[in-house]
Amino acid sequence: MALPDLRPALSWILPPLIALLLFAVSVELWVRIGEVSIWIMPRPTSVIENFVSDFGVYFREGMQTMAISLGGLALGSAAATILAAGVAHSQILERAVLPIAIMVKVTPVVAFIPLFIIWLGYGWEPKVAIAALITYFPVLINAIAGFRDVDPRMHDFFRSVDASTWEVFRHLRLPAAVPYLFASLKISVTLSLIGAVVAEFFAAGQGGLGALIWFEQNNLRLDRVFAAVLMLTMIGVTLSTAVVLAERLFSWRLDQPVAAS
Amino acid sequence: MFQMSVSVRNRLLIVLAFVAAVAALLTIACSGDDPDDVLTMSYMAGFKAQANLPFVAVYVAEDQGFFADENLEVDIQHANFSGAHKSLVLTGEVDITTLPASEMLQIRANTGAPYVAVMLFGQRGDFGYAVLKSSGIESPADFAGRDVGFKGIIQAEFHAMLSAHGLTTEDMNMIDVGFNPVVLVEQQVEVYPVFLSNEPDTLSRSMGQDIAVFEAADDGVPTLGVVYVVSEEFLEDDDNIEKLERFLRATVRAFEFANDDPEAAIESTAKFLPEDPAPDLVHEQFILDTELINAQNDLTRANGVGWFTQQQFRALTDVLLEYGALENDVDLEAALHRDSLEEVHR
Repeated sequence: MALPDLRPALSWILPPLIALLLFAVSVELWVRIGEVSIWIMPRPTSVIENFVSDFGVYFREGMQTMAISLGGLALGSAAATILAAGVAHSQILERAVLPIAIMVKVTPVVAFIPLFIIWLGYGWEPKVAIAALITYFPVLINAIAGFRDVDPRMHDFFRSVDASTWEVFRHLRLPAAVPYLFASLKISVTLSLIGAVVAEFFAAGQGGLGALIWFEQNNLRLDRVFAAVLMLTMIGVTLSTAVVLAERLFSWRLDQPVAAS
Repeated sequence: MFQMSVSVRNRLLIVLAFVAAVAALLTIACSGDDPDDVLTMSYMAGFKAQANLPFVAVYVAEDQGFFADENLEVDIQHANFSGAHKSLVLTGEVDITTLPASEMLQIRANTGAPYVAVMLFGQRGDFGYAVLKSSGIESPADFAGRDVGFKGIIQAEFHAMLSAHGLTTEDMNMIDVGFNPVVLVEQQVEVYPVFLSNEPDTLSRSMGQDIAVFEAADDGVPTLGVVYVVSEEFLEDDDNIEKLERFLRATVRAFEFANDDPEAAIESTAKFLPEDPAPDLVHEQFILDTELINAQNDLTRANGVGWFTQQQFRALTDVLLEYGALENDVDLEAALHRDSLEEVHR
């Protein structure tokens, strides 16, 4: 039986691994040769050692952060997509909504986290809300562009056959928007992780990687801080890869070209 | 073999003795022991500029010329919200900083960070637990069954305070509330952890609430406040010992100045506060007055301000160990250095 061709997979995996390895070796050499204090920069070897020995802790906290992040991404993306669908159909709605969307976008959300906690309670709700607020904007802008990017001839055809607004949306606008939505999700998926971690700083007693980073930073355990960041990186890469794979799946199903990102 | 004549050898000995004498004189002249030499030192306050006593002592010493009297130039910096002071004092970029005693012990025990406390300000802890008087809570014993806030970590002293009343955190609903006293006013929690010198004033004066504050120290729990901290490496250099003594002499003098005339101390402090937004000097005065009270007890009245004993730190360490805040015991011989303060008070 012939072995499967691993070259395509290796060409994806090897370059980032080699780059990361080179980066870690460079930092290790810099810390060792430059006698950099461990109180400002831990050795990559001690970070990895800690990551491996306490993997269970980082994994558990990482799953909590990922759940918050995905919750925020789902909420922010869904809300932005629904809003964008309305805006794509109505210029009046666009004029009414976009200034508010921009106002929320430029608001330093971090400064409002204590208020979110008061408004929404002490559980997962304020953290998901923060992650959603950080992620919605790229989806909104891309989705509006996508819903409007329909072929005029196809649009005329749908009108000529007396298609309803829903049918035009379902069969013309939504497929047109899919590449745009995935392009924005690639940005938003990492933003949602940042939102979740920042929100966890403010509710440090409830766990998650953000809380772990806050706690260990306060205790000057920098190897554990960087080990938590390593877990965060792994989650970020996993989620980004999942978005790329989902994009390919949807593009195939909808027979749409994959948008360049 | 070469034979040296007696006269040549004597002349050589005289020359060597002369060179040695000159070298000794130069060494003495160049050393930091000469009180006329101006020495420099860097200090980083562990937070933003405000009227906490360990900060005020430095502001007053600078403003009133006490550092100048000691021939000491002090570069005054603030860590603000960064927490950078904890690392920079260990890397030697900052000579001296401030840390709560329990935090110093915790980091030292859990990471091996070579912090050394050289002066103690808070003879009791900085933390209290505020309740609205209307809540009907009259002592920590009444916390049972209530919503009780904590800030990120449930402190060992809180566990010890509950234990003194026959309670544990299992008997109440613990909620991580962060740093916003509004949650008490809005009654989202019934007990809110406060920094004693700061938030009680915010709650009562700024928010108009009638509150009561409970402290673990009132239940006999050993607690300590903020210390001046240097690194072990810093103390290995004799020149640094001289610097430290000058620094402590000036700040002890500033402490006494602030105690005698707190309003004048706030005037000095105001020069170091950000101008925009305009500082609330009444609030700053509250901070200073509270910390002045908490920095004095029979021990300091008998030995001098800033005094501390190994027994105090032993008792605190034992509480931290009992409630799991420390992973290892602390070598207090290495973690405490009182010689310089003793020299100042001699």
